Amino acid sequence: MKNVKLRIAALVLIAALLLPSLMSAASLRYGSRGDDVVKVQKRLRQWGYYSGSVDGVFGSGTLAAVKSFQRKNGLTADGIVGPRTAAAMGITLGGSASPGTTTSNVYLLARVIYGEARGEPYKGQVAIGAVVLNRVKSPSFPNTIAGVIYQKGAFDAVSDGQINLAPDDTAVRAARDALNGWDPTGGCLFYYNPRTATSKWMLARPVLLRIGNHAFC
Amino acid sequence: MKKILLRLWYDSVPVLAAFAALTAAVWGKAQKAKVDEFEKLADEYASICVSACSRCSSELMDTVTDMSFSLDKLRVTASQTARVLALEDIVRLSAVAAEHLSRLPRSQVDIMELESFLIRAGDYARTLSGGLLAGREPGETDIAQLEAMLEACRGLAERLEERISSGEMPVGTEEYDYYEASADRDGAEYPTLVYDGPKAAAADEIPPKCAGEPETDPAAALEFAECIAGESMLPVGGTDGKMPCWEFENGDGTASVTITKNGMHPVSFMRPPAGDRSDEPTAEELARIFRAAMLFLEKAGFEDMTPTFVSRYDGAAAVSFVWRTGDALVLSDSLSVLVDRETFRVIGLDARQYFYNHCEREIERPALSREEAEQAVSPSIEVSRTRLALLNVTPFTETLCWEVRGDGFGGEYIIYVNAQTGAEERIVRIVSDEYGERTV
Repeated sequence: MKNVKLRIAALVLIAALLLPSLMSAASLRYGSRGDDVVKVQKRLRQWGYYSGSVDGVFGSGTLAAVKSFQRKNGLTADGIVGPRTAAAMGITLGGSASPGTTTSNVYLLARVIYGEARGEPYKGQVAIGAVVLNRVKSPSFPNTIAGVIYQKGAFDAVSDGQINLAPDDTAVRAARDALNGWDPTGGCLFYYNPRTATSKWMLARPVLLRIGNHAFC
Repeated sequence: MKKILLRLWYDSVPVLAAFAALTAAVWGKAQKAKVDEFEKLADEYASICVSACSRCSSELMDTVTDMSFSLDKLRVTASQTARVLALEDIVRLSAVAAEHLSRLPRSQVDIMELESFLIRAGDYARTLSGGLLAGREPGETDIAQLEAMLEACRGLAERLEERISSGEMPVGTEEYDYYEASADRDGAEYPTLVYDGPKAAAADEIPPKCAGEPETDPAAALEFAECIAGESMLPVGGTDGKMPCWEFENGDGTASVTITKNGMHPVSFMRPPAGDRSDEPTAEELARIFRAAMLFLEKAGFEDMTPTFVSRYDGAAAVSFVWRTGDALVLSDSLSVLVDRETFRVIGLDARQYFYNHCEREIERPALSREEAEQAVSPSIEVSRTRLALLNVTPFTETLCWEVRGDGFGGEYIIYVNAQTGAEERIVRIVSDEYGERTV
């Protein structure tokens, strides 16, 4: 009986010793340091939540920025970067390599889909991704996804900053479907919302199909 | 007592007022410092933007000028090597010019015509240089088009210089001012380049092969859509464009089917997966996925389809197929089928490219044997499989090739060897990642 108690005590002690390191591997909080904090700071800075230095130290400035990011993206504003917050930021914690080009492109495409078409039917969300990819293939536009998305005036979500919102699972799936070749628009290069569009140039283009609130041409 | 308190109050008023004034002054100073800091930051950003834009404008002008020099040299050189090098210079410069152009804060509408010209100039130059290397001399049309390109580049460089020297370049310019669009160019036009290359304007005009087929009765199309989806569907309109289609959806809008108006072909079908598995399927699961996809294709009227790659994401496995005729795969007649990882039901079809390109082909006899093709690839490649494939080398040209798949340098490659000449037509790298296999 005494041995059993000793073993339980030893296990509790080991767990107590290991828990902080396991916690720190899975989440970042005030006082954390290292490469993962750098990733978080870079992403927050890139999206306009953080203006401090990228020094790998999770200080008060980073804490405030994380809370602000969490509030804006419907997460619990506890200032801790756990798996959900990290996923919303599009980063992977735990010292693994940063997402590769393909993953980054999926996420960038998902962000523009979410910013432009959340609330639209799923097919309409895929259609937005397809328009971006049709432009990449067209000689009239830049030949990268980032080049097309960040071209001046190309997408309202870029102009008004909604592209920096964390996309939901539906937008990510729509991005993957579009990248996998699904094009509900049949090759369209433009779309607009007839209720809000003001550009005479755009309104003069022949509409080929409508999905939800968007006319594609 | 009351008097004393009153006196104290009157005495403290100036002190309190002084304290309040001091606090306000300190707060005001801090606010002013903040405003100054923001203004400084704004000035810095504006300066960075102006510098970046000025640099892009100047480098765009320089690059277009260099393009015109390369085109000029091309007119006088008699050396085959020098001509190829000049054309490759144009390829490089056109890409650089397009990159500078896309970084300018101009609206996409403003610059798309110019961007098309720059990209197509490079694409055309690459087509010509490839032709020269294969022993094909530029014809009279090519020479005339190169002259037109030279004139267009010279004119553009001059206009850019005028704009830059007059300070018209550009931060926060008005959108849709047609800066380089035809309306504002004093009649100057960019030449239309006629050639057989991936970005050629003529490629946009190629009609789908099913365009001439009989028009579909909407009721028959609805019945076919229900057969594809396996449930009741409702018509929700149609699309125009190059491949006009009927659109159908189920009651809650979660499933959709698209059927061509000409020929009644199933172009796409999509419904969400039941789960979100994205782990690697077992051999048994893979066999079930292939079986489900093949049965679906048979039911939908597709024949002689060969699976090529499988990728997986968000609860679905996407199986790519190409059409086989005789011994050869026809790579442009491709489609993909999505199979649910939980239920092994087909939940998606994307066959637009298949119906755009599909027609009967005469496959010629290869001059090269399988063994000769395998010997034609790099000895560093350990060949694992060789088969015939009709490769779309340009929008207008398909070439019969030996598709040689093999390993080397720690990676897997597919090398397309021209089955008549032995020339390498294309190299594809196979990338395997958490989502399965894909080619780059």
